[in-house]
Amino acid sequence: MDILEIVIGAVALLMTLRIFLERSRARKLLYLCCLSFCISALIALYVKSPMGGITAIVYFITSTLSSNAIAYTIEQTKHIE
Amino acid sequence: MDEIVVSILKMLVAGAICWINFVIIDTYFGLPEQPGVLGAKMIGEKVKDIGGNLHGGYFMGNIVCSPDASAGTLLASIMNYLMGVEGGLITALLVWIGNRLCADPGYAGTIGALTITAIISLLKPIIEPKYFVAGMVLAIFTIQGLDHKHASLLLGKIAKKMNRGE
Amino acid sequence: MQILILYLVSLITSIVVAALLKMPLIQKSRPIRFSFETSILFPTPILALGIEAIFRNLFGDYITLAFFAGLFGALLSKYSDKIFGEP
Repeated sequence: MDILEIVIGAVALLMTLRIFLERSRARKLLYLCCLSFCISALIALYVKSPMGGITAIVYFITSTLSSNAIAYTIEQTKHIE
Repeated sequence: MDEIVVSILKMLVAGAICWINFVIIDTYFGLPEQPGVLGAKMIGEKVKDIGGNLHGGYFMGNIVCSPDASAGTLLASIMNYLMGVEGGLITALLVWIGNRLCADPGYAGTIGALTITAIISLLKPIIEPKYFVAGMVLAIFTIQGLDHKHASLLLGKIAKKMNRGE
Repeated sequence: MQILILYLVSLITSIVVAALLKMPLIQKSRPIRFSFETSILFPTPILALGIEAIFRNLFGDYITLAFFAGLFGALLSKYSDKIFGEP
């Protein structure tokens, strides 16, 4: 274990805890974005090959795509209520 | 013991460089000015409800809803660590495609990836690229994960100083 | 040295093809930072260099591939509205 992986893992654990404790559904997305950054960095640091880097990029971009869709849906359902 | 202190110091310096890089580029390309997509507008209003700044909230919402200079900085430092300078070019291409999929013009992401590639290749003898990966995680943690109210106030102040927003 | 020549070939090819496709030199609508248009200076050269980096790492150093990378970069930049849909 390197010091860098310990620091990134600690940040990821803290973010998971805060996602459970946060009540507002919209502000959970902000913590979730930070968690995706941590997971993407951990993938790259553990899989030390160019394909691991491509995997990290594809994971991060698709996670922002799904966050985009979720935020759009929350905004749309606000008008229905 | 001495080695750990040196690596923590390097990580903090790299994090400060990444923070300055992505905040300046994102602010210059107008993230706090207007919500690019509907979801960013909703997150900005929610951040304003807890006492933050509306334009800082738009900045944070835009980071969540499309891969901007923050994503470009992290992914370019990952690819610089794994492949060298060519990785930065591949990152710029993939981030541009991701930006267009999220209905974003894509200036901030590509230019952020290219500038951090230039900075890393300049500083390579002193700070290795893997410190930039951890530094970028710490930099995004101070904005998205620590305290939303004060982070948005700080981002709003920077946006006002650079004539973006208000 | 040879790697630099390959990247230069793809860069010049992309700019020439983009000029032949009658793309504007710089975005017409103002302000530029919110414009969805594509031009010769952005993002055509960046796309061409990225495609060339992928080709070189997957298939090897061939000057023909560098030429095709420039061609694909210019085409992707020109028809990006049709590929990704209007904003």
